[in-house]
Amino acid sequence: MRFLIEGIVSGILIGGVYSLVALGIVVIYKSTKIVSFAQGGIVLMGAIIGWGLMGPLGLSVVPGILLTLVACVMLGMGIDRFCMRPTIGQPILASIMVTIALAWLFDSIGILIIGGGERPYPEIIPTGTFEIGFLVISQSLLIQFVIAVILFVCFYLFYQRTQLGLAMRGTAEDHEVVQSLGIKVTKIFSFSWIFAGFFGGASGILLASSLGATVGLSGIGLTAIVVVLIGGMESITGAIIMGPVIGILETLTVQYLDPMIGGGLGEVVPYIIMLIVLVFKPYGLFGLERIERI
Amino acid sequence: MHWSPCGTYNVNYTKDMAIFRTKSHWISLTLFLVVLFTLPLYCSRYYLTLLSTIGITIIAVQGLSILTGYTGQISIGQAAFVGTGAYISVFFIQHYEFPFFFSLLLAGVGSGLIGIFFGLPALRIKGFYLAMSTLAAQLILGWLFLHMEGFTGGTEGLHVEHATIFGIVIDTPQRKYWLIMFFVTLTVYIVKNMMRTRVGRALVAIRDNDLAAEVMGIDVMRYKLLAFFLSCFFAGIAGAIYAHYIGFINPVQFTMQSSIIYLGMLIVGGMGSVLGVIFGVTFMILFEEFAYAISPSLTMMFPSFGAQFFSAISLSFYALVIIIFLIFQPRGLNHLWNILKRRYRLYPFSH
Repeated sequence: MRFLIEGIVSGILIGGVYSLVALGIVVIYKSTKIVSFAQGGIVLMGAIIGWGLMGPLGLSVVPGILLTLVACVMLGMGIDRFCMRPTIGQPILASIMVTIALAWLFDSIGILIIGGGERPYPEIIPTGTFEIGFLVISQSLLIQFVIAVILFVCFYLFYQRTQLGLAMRGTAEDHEVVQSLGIKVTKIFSFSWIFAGFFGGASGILLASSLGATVGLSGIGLTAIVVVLIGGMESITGAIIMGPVIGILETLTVQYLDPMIGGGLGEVVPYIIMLIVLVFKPYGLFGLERIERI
Repeated sequence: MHWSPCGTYNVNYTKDMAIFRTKSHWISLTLFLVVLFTLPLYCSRYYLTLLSTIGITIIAVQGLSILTGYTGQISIGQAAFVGTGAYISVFFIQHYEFPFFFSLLLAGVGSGLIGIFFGLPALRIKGFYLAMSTLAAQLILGWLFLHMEGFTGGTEGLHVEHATIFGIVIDTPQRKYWLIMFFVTLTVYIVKNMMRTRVGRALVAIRDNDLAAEVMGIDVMRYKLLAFFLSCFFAGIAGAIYAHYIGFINPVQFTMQSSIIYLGMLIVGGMGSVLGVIFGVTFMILFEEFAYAISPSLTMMFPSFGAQFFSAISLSFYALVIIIFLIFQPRGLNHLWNILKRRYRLYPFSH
């Protein structure tokens, strides 16, 4: 029983970061209708830039993190301006392939810079564990989760209360209407990628500070896409809720099913669930259904 | 029948549909086939290996082209279906000693049926969602390759005996080359002609507008599943041939990375044409050879990067080629070829 609850709690805490990465994907999808496979690459770049600034270059923690976030925001802008804009108007395969190719590019840059090994991070988040009652909880996971939640709240307020947020919501509804109201849609695209870069960089630093900077970090991008699909592509709530759910499922599978069936099932389970969800509720659990009729 | 395309006019529909319209077309086709099949007699082993790899990949990508290029359903799982075909054919040959051609057929059909299963979500979803369900197919099948050890041999993989066709053992590179080129020619012939029948036109109609296709009386669901079956059928055939060509299969050969490279070949060549696939596959594989060729000197130039340097470089080359083509030449090499043909036809006048 204790084992089960511990699994659930750590699943929820891991899921916080999944949601953060997924949020970047949802923000891009809502305004540009592009699904970014490159989000994992941005996470990796965030981790590597953070390592480079705080490790070899010897910056202290606060300016290091700030500069990393700035660099990731620039990265997002650059992707939008130079890679995604030429694909506007082309079939959906074009944009998907560009983001996949970008993810590869970031992966190979990662391999060139840090190689196959693991680069240790300065201790930004205290490691170690503490106990609540009979539960043993990892401190770094908890702090990660709290930071993720703070970022969600900030983004939610921004999205609902500010004028730019309103413009982004409008763009999500209809490009032409928003354009006729005098809002430049391409500018909103840039802002969406800026936010995606920010969230990607933030989750890169968070992940790398507990796991170390490795090339494998970019794998989280695919899991995040699964999270987004199960939650519904258009739904920010869906992304935030489904992150922890997928986290729980993964940890529980690793805990209970892996010893029976064999390793690696934890990575496949999200996809099996996604297939089932796609067949029965194609627009996700929280998504907006688009009905097509003749 | 005239010699040159200039001044050849179509006076009936049969002529309009014809692929080969002039005498020089027929002559160049015959010459090409003769050269293609006599190449092993005077060609070095290196080029045979290269051409064999290109041939097998062409079969797999022709399959993908039916699904993605003609029907417009994005698939990021072709390599997994290639793998399925490879494992199925090896299974039947090793355990039941089926003849090669029969196991090849079984590999195609089995792979196609599994493809239909993963294509079932296409009944309700399309576009990006479907891409994700094929990605799930890739990952789930990849996991099964690793863990169904009785069937696939797990991480250690399987050793594959040489194929035997009518008592002839296919063991030399020359014989393998002939076998592969026979199937490549057959595949190209079938795909090119199938896309000019009712089936092919229905698939193109679904790609261009599925609602309109449905209104015109095309059973969209049936044809979508048919496209999945055909695509995975050719993937399975390619896999079975690959297994007997390389003599050894393990899960590492059928990863998501190869699936995406297949898609990249399709994009580089140009979607929705048989010739484009051939262009794309040839271009990408020659490109990879080029990367292999220059990697030792690059490693000498940057010794600090070490062993993973080559994989990183080839990965980023692929990525850059795909991005550059999508941004600057989204219609692929086939489009360039068509421009060239039109220029030639009207030469020396531009209109």
